Amino acid sequence: MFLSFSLESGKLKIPTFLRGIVCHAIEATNPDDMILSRYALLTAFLLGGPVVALDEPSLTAGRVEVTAGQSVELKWLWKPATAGYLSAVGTLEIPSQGMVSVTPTETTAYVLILEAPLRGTRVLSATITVQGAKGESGLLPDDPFSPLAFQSDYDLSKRSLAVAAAKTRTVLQDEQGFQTTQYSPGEGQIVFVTRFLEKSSLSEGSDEKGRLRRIAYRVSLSSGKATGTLHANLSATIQWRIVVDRQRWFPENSSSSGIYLRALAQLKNAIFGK
Amino acid sequence: MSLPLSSRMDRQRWTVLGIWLLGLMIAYALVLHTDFSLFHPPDPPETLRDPITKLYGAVLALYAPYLTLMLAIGFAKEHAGSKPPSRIVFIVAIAVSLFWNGVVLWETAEMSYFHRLEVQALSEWMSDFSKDWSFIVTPMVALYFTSERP
Repeated sequence: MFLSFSLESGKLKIPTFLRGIVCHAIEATNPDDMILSRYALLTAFLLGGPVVALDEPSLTAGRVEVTAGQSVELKWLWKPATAGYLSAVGTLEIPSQGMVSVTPTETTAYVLILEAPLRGTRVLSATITVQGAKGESGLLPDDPFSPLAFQSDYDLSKRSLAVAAAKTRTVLQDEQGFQTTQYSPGEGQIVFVTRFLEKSSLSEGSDEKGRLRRIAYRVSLSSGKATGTLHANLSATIQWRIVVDRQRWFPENSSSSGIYLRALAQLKNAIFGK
Repeated sequence: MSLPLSSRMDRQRWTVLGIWLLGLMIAYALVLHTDFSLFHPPDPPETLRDPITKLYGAVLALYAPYLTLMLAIGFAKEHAGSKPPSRIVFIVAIAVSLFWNGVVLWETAEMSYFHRLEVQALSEWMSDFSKDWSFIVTPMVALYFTSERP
C-alpha cells in the first residue's frame, strides 16, 4: 500500500520514494496559497486518489549553483512550525515561513531546523555550489579530530534542537570567535565543526613555559529517542606548539586529559548551562 | 721554532678576536637557554628538537669563517716584534666587530628572550646575514689581521 491517511493531519501521506515526484509537481505561487499544478493533478490521477499539499517542511534555494559574490534566496515553509533555526542566520523569528538572502563565497550547505508541537523536529539541508571557489564550508569537512581527541555525550531532557543549535552557534561563533562549519549528516542531526583557534586559557594553570595551545570543537546535536530530549556529543582536539616555533603543531596527548575535560566542560556549560 | 699564539698576536688583535669569541659564546648561551627552557618537555615528540638542532649549526656556520680566518692568520703570521696596525684601523675593526656581533646577538635575543622571532626564521636569517655580509667582513678581518704599521 503506497498511500495512507494520516489521522493526525487528515491528509494523504505519500511514501518517501514518491514524494520527489509529487513535490516537483506542486507549484507554490506564494507560501500561503499552495496550488497543485497540472502535473500534480496528473500524479494524483495516476495514484488513484486525492493529493493535497504535503504537510512537510520545505527549504528551497533560488539557485543551486552560483558564482562567488552572487546572492541566493533561501525560502522555508512549514505552517505548524513554532521554533526554527537556519545556519545562516541563527534563530528564526518567524519559523513557519520566510526568506533570507545569502551570499556564499564557497560551496555551502545551509541547515534548517523546524519544530512544531506534536509534529516533532525536522532538519533540512540545501547546498549551494559556488563555481570557482576553492573551499567548501558546510559540506562534510576533513575530520580535524585525531584519535586522541576527547568526547563527551550528554542526554538532555526538555530541550529544543533549534534552540540548542542557535545557542551553539552563538557560543562558538560570536562568543568564542571560532570559524564554524555546519552540516546535517543525517535525519534530525546538526553538526558544528570549528577550525582551530589559539586559546591562552588552555595553558592557564600549566607550569609548562613557552607552550601555546589551540583547540577545535565538534558539536553534534540530534533529537533524542524520547520526545523532547536532545542528544549532544561534544568533542575536541587540542594541539600545542612551542612559542618560538609557529610552524609545527603537535597533538596534545592523553596525559593532558585534564585540559580536554576542562575544555569540554566549559563548552557544555556555555551552551547548555550548568 | 714556532711561538705560542699569545706571543704571536698583539693585544689589539686579541681584543678583536675576543669580541668574536665572546659573541659566539653569548649566542650559544642564548640558544642553549631556549633549548633547555622550551625544547625539553616531558613528552617530546620525535621531531620537536629539529629546528633548535639546526640553529646550533647555523650559529657555528655564521661564526666559523671569521674565527677560522683570524686564528689561521694569527697562527701563521709572526706578529711578535712587529708593530700593530694604526689606531684608526684598530678602532674601525673594533667598531665593525661590535656592530656585527651586536646585530647577531640582538636577533638571537629576539628569538631566545623576547620570543618575537621563530627558531626557523633565525636560522634562515643567520644564513642570509652570513651571505650578505661575508663579502665585506671577511676581507676586512683578513686585512686587519695581516696589516702592520710601517
